[in-house]
Amino acid sequence: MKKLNNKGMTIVEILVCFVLVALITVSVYSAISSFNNKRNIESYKEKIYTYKNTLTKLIQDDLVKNGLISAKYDPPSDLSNEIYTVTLGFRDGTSKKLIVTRQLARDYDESVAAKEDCGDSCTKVNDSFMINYDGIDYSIPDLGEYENEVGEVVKDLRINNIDIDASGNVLSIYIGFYHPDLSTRYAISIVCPINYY
Amino acid sequence: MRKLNNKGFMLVETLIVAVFLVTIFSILYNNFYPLIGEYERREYYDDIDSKYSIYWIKRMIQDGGYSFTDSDKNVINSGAKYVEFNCSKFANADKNAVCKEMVSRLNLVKAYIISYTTTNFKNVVKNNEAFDKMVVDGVTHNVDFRDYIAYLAEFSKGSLNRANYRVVGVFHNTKDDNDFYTYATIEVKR
Repeated sequence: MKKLNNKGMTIVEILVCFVLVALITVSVYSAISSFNNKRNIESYKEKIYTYKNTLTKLIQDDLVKNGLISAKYDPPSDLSNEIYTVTLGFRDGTSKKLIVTRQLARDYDESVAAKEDCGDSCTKVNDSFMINYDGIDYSIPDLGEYENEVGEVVKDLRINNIDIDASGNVLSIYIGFYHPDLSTRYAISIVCPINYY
Repeated sequence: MRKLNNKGFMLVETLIVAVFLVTIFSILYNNFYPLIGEYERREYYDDIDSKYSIYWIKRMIQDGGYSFTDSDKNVINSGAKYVEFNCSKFANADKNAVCKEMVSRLNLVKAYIISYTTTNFKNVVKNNEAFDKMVVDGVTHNVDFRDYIAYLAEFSKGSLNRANYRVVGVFHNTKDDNDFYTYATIEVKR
């Protein structure tokens, strides 16, 4: 009859096994975690791309197909609730308005100073952004939010720069976005000659 | 009864298999890793902003006021294979001014008018490093123009719109803290 091998494993073999399993687990975990990070960032990019491409195409299609003959820019009069308005006049006599509304919560330093100053009784201003083109609202993608020191809602994706210029027979519209993971990489950027036909 | 072989693998056999697996995975990694970089680079090719930007450059070239002579066409077809887009080719002062304003606001670094089929221009650009160091107004722009041209299709079947030329542009994005270049091309009918 065949003699069975009942020796089992030594403590050294078990230890080596544990170390190997631990090493593999750690490396797989870090790989999966970095993959998850990358996947999140890609999903943010995709949402911003979809948003910016949709608006850019809508506006540029009008500029290209209808022909821009005039552009009137009204800058915001109230800096606590900024409203930027551009009225676009087309060759067929129609006009469309692009309205960008921005209301910014306090940044980190300001909110720390405000908390020391007025505590819980501070007036709260939450982040709020909206782009309206031809009467239709296009809300910017919701990629998360947090509260600053005085409890104001700060959006992860913000409109950080609005630069509109209708001088020199050229219209340029720049609406820059900021996201903590993507910085200021993405923007709606439109440049078009006025009455160039 | 048949005697069982319970010897297991030898150390050398295990090592050979391990080395073999490591070699296969490193080959796979080396082949796939550049694809990620390639995918990220292509984010800068023909994006919606540069596509509309190059559209407006095309519109200016197609404008009757933009001088595009037979000599230019000869250069493109049988000479250097390209001519640079230049606002000074507008004789009309107003159009020249609008062109300059557009170039400035679009942050156009350079635009080249080439033949519709890119084969000849690809050959010109391929071995000329100067295309990756564009000098404009004394400022050197380190761009990846040759990579973009290598990526472009050859458009050998001809244009459905019977266009004979195309324009290729490089744009420098400098708003906010940005400092990157985008590239785009579009056909031109002249």
